Order: sequence, then structure tokens, then C-alpha cells
Amino acid sequence: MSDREIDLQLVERVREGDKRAFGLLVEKYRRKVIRLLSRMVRDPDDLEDIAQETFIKAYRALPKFRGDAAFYTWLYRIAVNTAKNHLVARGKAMRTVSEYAVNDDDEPDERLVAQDINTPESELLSKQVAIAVNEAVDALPEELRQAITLREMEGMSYEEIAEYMSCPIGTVRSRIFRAREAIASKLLPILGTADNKRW
Amino acid sequence: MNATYSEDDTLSALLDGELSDQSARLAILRLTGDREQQVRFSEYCVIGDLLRGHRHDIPDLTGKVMAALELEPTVLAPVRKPATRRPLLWLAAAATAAITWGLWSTAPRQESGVPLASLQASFHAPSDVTPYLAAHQDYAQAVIAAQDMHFTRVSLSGEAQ
Amino acid sequence: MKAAWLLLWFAAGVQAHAQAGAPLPTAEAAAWLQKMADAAHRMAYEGVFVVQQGEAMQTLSVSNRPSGLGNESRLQAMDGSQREVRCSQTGAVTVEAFGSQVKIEKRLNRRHFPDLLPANALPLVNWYDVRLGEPARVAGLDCRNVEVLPKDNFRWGYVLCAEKDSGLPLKAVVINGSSQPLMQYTFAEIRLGAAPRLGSQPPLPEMPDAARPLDAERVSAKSLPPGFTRIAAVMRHLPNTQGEVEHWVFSDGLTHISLFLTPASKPVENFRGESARGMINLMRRQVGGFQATVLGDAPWAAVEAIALGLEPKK
Repeated sequence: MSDREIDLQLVERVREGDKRAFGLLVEKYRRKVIRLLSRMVRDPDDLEDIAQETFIKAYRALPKFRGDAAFYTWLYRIAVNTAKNHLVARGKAMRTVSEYAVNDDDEPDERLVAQDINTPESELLSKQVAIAVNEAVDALPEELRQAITLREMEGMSYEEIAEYMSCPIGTVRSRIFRAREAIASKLLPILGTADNKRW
Repeated sequence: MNATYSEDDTLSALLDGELSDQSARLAILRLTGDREQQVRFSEYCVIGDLLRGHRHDIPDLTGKVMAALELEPTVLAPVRKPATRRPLLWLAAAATAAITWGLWSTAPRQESGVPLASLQASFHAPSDVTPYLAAHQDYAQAVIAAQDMHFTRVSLSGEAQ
Repeated sequence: MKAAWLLLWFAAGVQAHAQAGAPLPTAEAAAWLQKMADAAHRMAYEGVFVVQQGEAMQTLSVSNRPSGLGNESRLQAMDGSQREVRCSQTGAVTVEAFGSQVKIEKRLNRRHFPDLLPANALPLVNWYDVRLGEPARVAGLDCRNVEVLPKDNFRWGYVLCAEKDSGLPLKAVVINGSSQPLMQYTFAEIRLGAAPRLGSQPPLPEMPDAARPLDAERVSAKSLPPGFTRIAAVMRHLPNTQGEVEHWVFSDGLTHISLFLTPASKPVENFRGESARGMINLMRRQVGGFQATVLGDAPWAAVEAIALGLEPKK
């Protein structure tokens, strides 16, 4: 089942009354949405309000989501409209950005969005977490590091990775899993106990 | 979360879109009901996002959104699954949601494991038996695929000929 | 390719089933049956189960919640074509999707796993022995095997695995006289105590009733196996067929046998039929001016007894 289908399944779960499934979608897309919004919004308080509002609006609009567009594309458009309305209502100017940059595959093209170097320190995933992840990745055995990098950064499928690394698909699956687990275990002392991560 | 090493790589494969439809549905079902799985899901999302350079985050955004949703009515909407491409078996005149009667669609036929060689030579029954089997399912077991039946002639005393 | 764990259950299910101790005294037997019936009917639960018949497997999701004096439930096929069954206070329907078209039919009854026992389960003790089997684990929950075995050879047996506290059947195996499995239902995943509201689905379009009462009865059933009574007799439409047929249903509460009557325009060839493992048996014969087809999830003896006992009314 593809990533897009999985989002649809989660949407179905929400539509059947399971609100927690929506939390999973928020967890999945929150940083992507925040990155998008931060290009349009200067004020960190505005950013937080708009981010929240985006997801709440998406929740309310779920009955209208037909599944013909990818969930993230649909969410992207809600984010952009929410930002525009919010800022207009407050008479604030929006940063110019190619907000309608959507490529042929109907996915928002994030390469068209400029890299921002002015994000306040407090909003960055703590330096500690970022450092921990980088260190954890560097510490991985070569075959695990390669597998997770190809998957997360190149977006290759298991089959493509298997071909590239000349190993069975089952091995790819196992390596990616073990890489994730190894990194996650290094995050544990920094992110705290599980209770802090529950929502 | 258990700090101990887990063996179950299903969630990891789910996230990569590499599970079969059936396995994925079950994994999603499990995920939405299991807090530990949800925590692990969140961790995997953080790892992926960080590797892709998404460092900007709002602390506990999900918690705040979910708290706000507590006040929202639960969203409920018609079930709408991606359409499968199956030919219409019934009259083309049927309008959307028209009331027509039809047979159960069957899942791909499986080989039955039991040899029927012990029975008498089979007899080709009239085709009207299949709808009776379907109609009987109202009272028996729902949504089961159509049965393969084997038929033989009988004399009135009930002995097979 | 089926996941490895599905094969594990199938393997676990093939062993002989009826191995428990002595039959329970009537009162205790009745209590167990009623507890399992009540749990399936009146608890809130949702989950996914697998149905197996021979090598054929289907996966379905189910949810149930109490509603008024009864319940509301919903079954959805998770493979094959998209079809579901919805049961509510007002009745039961089957919904099937084909591309953008939706086909809806009313059902005559609402019986489905795990709600296989009748609302009043006590009379079953007259026709079935109940024995307690081994503890087991299904879908991560502790349960107990409860064997519901026929006292004669007019019915199949059922081995139910009842959840430890609630009695909800997590697994049901239909077995024949040699304790061989004919059909098996097993929960893969289940959540107790929570089910989505079903009532907020869009209202179904107005539909004619699925069946109407008989004008007159021209056939009578003279010999029914012990415990079987007629629980339905209607004129109804059949799938993919013009016109109506007469549909009767006989049941002892757990086993169901159908009779279909149509006027015979030419002589009827008598034949019998059985499904691959013998779970379903069928007989067709001529009764006066009618073609009678008797079929059910029951041993041949029961189908034969009913079919041979049919007579035209004077």
C-alpha cells in the first residue's frame, strides 16, 4: 500500500470517528507544513496560530476530501489559504513566495521555496536532537546508514534500494528498520520519557 | 516506550509504503489503537524529517491541535474508497444507488482441498441453484464467497444413483 | 502472498477440536451460551477477522454497538470487491460499490460472526451439549474454548473461543461429526468497548421491502428434525432473477436450513448437492406442482429429512 493510500486509510479512520488517526497525520506532516508557513509568516506567534488553524481546518474539511489529490497537496492548499486569510485580517504583509509552486506530479515543489536562515533558535528542533540524529546516523554500520539514507533522502523504494545495494528486499526492509531503531534509541534520553511524547 | 529492542518491523515498512494492502490495513488498525506504536510512529517521522532537513518545529503542536479538536464534533463522512475497476454485472439502466439484485462478487477462486472423487459422477445442475445459495446467506454466514457445489442425481428414496 | 501469521492460525485450527471434558449441566450450559450470545450482541467492539473454508480465505472488518434494545453492526469485506453489510434497528442491508455506482439490497436477516447465537440462547441446550475446553489466546486476548456439540447428526458443531471476561466469541469453528473443521472465523485484531457510531452514515434511499408475506401455503413440511421450527416464510426476489420465489427458513436457533419453492412448469429432476467439505448440503425434488430446493449449513441427514417430508397441501 503506497504512502498516498496510507494517508487515505488514515483519513477513512478519522471519518469513521477515530480522532487519534488525525493525530497521526498531524505528526506526519507538521514539520513540512511549518516549513511552508515559515516562508510566508514572519511572526513566530502568528506561525503557531496559523499552523494550528491549518490542521483544525483540515479536520473540519475532511468530509469534503475526495482522495483524488494527495492528502499533502490538499493540506498544502489549506495551509496557504489559512496563512493568507490570517495575515490579511491583521493587515500584515506576507512574504512573497512561490506558493503555487506545484509540479506536474501534483505535489508541492519545495525546492522552489527559499531556504530560510533566520528561524529563531527556539523554534528549531533542539540542536541537541539534530546533533543526536546526525551522530546516530554517522555511528550506524555502513549498510544500515546507506539503506536509510537512500530511503529517506533519495526516496528510493525497497526494490530500488535492493537493486542498488545488491541484496534481497527483505534485507533492505530489515536494515532500514534497524537503522530507525538505533537512531530512535539515541533520541530517547533527549526527547525524554514516552509520556512527554504522547498527545 | 520500551527502551528494549523490538523485532517488529511492520510499522517501519508501513511508513515506507512497502506493505501489502491487507498487511497495511491491519498495521494501520493496530497503530490507531496502540499508544506505543504511535510514539514509535512519531519518532520515525522526526528521524525522516530531520534527515531531510526539516528542523523547524513548534513544540507540542500535535498536542495543541488534538486538544482543540476535543471541542470539535467528531467528523463523520460517507465511506468512499478508491474505486476498483470492476465491470458492471447488472443492467446498464441501473442509476446510482438503484435497487438491483445481484450475486455476491467472489474473491479469486481458491482450489478446494478436498477431492470429490469419492462421490458419484457429477451432474450438471441448473444455474438457478446459485441464487438460492446467495439468498440463504441472509440467514447463514454473511459476505462469504459463492460456494463450489458438487451435484449427483437422486432417486426419491434419497439414495444417490 | 498471504502473511506468515495467517498461515499460523490456519495450522493451529486444523487440529481436532472436540476434546474437552464432560458436558456441562443444563443450567451452566445455558448460562455460557447466553453469555456469549449477549456479548456478541450487546458489547461495543470493532476488529478484523478472517474466514477460512478449506484454502479459501477472506478478511472482514466488523464493528458492533448496542442500540436501544438491540444493536447496530457493520461488516466490510477487506479483500475482493467492495461490499459491506449494515445492520440497524430498522433492518439490514448489503451495500456493494462498483466504480461510482452503489448497489444496495435489503437483507432478510442479520446474522454474522461473531453474533452467531440467537438472542435467546437457552433453548439450544435441548439440541446441543456444551463442554468447556482449554484456555487459549486469540488476537492478543485470553479466551476459553467452549464446545457446542450436537446431540444428534442433524446439525454441525461449533467450537467457540470466548473472551475470558466478556464471553465474546473471538473464534468460531464449525465442525462435523468427526471433529473436522468445515469453516473457521478468527479475529486478527479486536478492540473491546469502543466502536464508531454507525448511525451517521448517509441515509439509505427508500427501497421496497425485500420480501412480502405469502398469500397462501400450498406445501407443508411434515418431518422436521428435533428442535427445528419454521422461522420465516416469505415471497422474495432472488439475486439476478426475475420474479419471486417462496423462501422458508427452518432453524434450531443455531443451524439454518432454507427451502425455496417455485411453480414447476416441467418435470423436476431430483438431485442432491454438497459443498467442497460437505458443510452445505442441498436437495431438489418435485413436490406436487412445485420445484422444491432445500439447502443449509447442516448435515445431509437434516436436509434430506426436511426435503422428503414435504407434501403438497390438499
